[in-house]
Amino acid sequence: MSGLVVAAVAGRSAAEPPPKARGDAAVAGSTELQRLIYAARDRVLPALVNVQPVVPDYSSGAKEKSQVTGSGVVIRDDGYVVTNYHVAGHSEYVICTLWNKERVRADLVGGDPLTDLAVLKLDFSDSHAERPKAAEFGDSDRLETGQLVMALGSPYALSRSLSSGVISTTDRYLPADFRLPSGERTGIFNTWIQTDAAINPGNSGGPLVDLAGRVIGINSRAFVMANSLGFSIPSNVVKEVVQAIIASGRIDRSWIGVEVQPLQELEEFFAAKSGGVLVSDVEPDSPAELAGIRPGDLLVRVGGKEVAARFYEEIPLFYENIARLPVDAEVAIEYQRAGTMNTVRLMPREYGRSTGGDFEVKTWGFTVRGITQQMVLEYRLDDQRGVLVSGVRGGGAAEEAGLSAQDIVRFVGETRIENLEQFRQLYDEVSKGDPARVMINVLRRDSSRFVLLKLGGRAG
Amino acid sequence: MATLSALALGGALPLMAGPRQIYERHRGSIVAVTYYVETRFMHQTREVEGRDIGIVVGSDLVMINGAAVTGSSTGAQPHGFRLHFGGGLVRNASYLGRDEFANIAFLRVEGGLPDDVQPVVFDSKAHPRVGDAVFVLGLLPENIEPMVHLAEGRIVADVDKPKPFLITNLSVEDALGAPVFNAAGKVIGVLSELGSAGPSFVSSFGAEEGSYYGIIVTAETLVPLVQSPPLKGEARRAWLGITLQALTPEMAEYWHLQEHGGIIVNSVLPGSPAAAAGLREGDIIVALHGRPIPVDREDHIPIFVEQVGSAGVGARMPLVVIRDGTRQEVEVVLQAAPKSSQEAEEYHNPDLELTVRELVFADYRAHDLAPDFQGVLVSRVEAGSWSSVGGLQVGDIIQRLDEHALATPADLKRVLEEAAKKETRKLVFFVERDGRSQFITVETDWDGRS
Repeated sequence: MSGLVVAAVAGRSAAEPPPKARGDAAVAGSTELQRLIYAARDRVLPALVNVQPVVPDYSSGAKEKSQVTGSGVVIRDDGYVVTNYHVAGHSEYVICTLWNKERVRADLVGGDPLTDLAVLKLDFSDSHAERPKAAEFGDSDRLETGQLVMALGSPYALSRSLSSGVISTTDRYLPADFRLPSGERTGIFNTWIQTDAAINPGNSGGPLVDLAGRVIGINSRAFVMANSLGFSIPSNVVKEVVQAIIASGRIDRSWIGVEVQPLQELEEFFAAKSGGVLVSDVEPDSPAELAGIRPGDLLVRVGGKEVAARFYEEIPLFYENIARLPVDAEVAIEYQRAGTMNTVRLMPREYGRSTGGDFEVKTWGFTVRGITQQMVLEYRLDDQRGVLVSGVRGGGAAEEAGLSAQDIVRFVGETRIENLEQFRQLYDEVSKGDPARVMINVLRRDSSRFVLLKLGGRAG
Repeated sequence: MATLSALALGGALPLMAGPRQIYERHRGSIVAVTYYVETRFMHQTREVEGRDIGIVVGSDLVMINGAAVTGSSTGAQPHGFRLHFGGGLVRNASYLGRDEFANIAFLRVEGGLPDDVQPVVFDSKAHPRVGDAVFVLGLLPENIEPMVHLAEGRIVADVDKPKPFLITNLSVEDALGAPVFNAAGKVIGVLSELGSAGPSFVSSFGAEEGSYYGIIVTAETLVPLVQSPPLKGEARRAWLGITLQALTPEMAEYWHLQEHGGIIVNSVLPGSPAAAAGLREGDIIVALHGRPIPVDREDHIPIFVEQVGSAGVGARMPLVVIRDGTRQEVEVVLQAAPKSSQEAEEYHNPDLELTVRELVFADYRAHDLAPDFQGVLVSRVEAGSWSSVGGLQVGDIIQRLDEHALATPADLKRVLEEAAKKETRKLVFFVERDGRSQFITVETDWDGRS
């Protein structure tokens, strides 16, 4: 065997001159590239953070905590760090390890599941660690396919790892039916930078940088069963979301209730004269529906600004434009229907939160989640009343009584449940009486159902 | 001595047919039924071949376990039924219909039976009991000849709730749908599984606990079905039109009720007999025809379902309900139960290699459709077909094709035939998928491969 290897190596040596003897240009080029890489590395590495949040999970019917590992990057000298929402968006406690191996606590400032971003603030009150220097943002609207990039982070918790590659495509569209592990919809408002720089679990939240050491994206997804297919949230999206979160803890978006699809091969069918955005669906009772907009309408101008989406890649930008409309101020929407132009005025509403808060109903053996307007649309509920059962604990009273995840609790005893806060208060109050039984009524697939919890309490 | 023993057994001989005689006499009536059924796994839809036991029960009639026609995970109806007889002869067959409660389906043999095949005749006077020896003729794996095998077992239990049936110690593994013989060689029923004896049994009777004992669907049930097989699309069962749960003793106690069982009305379906009679969500039905309802646990709901289902279309059902703490009498006039997806009308277009079926009541519930919603449901899309390339998927509900609204498979047929005449190359479907609508463009060259 070793003879074979030697022969192969010898064979190549004989056929080609050794690298050092090759053209000087190639050598000089590679040295220059190497220098650029070192320089870029040195600009971003001091801002690199290994993020280890403790996150709760309510899906088993009880609150279970675990520590996960992700990455992050310092974006302001006063200690703000950006990471992924799916890493730290629900964190209760965060430990960050800086590039110099110092450990520092961090607090969650806020998060945005729709772009999968979260902001942390490093807390140096108990630490003598040297303050990290913020990384600089690049302009993600000016990227090139083939451009050299590096990804930094903690793949499989291996902190301070650097991988490199190129931008495989600058505007990858990924269908928006993707969900974060905590259940929120995500990826509606942006396309992705696709890269072949290795991105593995744990890289999430880490920076993708150009050869000038500027952050051009936040690494957030990869196809796990594939090679070299990683996806980053473009820096311009990150900048906007992060600014909003730092300013107010959240980002507000507007909503008019239209779903759209690419016009591409439907132009002829809809006699599209000047492009536009094709409405594929209109949410019930939404501003768009109330204004009379229907599937098949071509939106041409929104607030006087032309809109168009011939291809999937253009759709996130349209949704983003809608999201930026001011809430509670009328906007004119011009659309084409059956060849004629029409104008309606409507009032956008707040997009609102993806999901409500979580709560463990400990002695009853299940977990619940508050219901938001987005959940009403998603689960096709009548309204926001009640709380959603997010998990049922094995062996608990709720499981024995036949409660199921996805049930909506409508009544506890005779009391109508309006929202999570009221449910929590009622639970506390009922629990004080130490009841032997509690009757709850749930909605399960459009049908009510009684669930009698046997709690073994003293009160009859 | 030989003569003596023959004499001694003389009285019993005509009765004791013996396992060998059962095998010899009846194996010709057993056929392997093959068909294609669609399954979906991780967003991939594919056709798989099913193979089940068929019993020849008439001059052109074959009986199979209903699981064959309900087995599709996409709701598509199985197709391409073929009957493989013992001698290697193959016949095509068409699907006639299924009895929902016995879960027995029937096929019509095309081109007649082979000459030497005798239909099996069920004997409803055999009165099988616990302890009796029973025999089944099951199917061996496809590549083995002869294809029929004999298994022996015993009736091990006699259950009367939620409905009477006999449990055997026979495995249904390779004998689901097999004829069951008693020691005298009489055909006393067919082997079925606990989970499939009726619509509400699945979650309530042990199937999930890993119990695979075969049960016997007895001749009393089968004889009328053979005499008048259920036909697809024909409404026989009555329904009330409610979703329900059992009134358990704990619940009765909680609400201070004297009853030892009852039915809690969880919802009243729009347009149903229950709605017409004014039943309401939250009503507790405590008597039917003046008699208490013996349903005090979820497992026993089928008792009530069967009482209603078998009462017949048009039957009057006087009920006593407790509403807001007071007792009231309510009379419901039963109507025919809505069609199931297996009974729905289908249409296949060979150019698009697309199959749709009409929407049935269950679809309106499953997809949360408004009562006035109209469309047809995509039940099959061939891989690589024009419709698949265009992006149509199984489960899509087509509301419009170009400017034509569609309410039935016949509507789609008409519009597509028109389009084929004009050789329209681009078809724009407006479909509902996962609760959202969208437009889908399908191109075709009308080069149908049928």
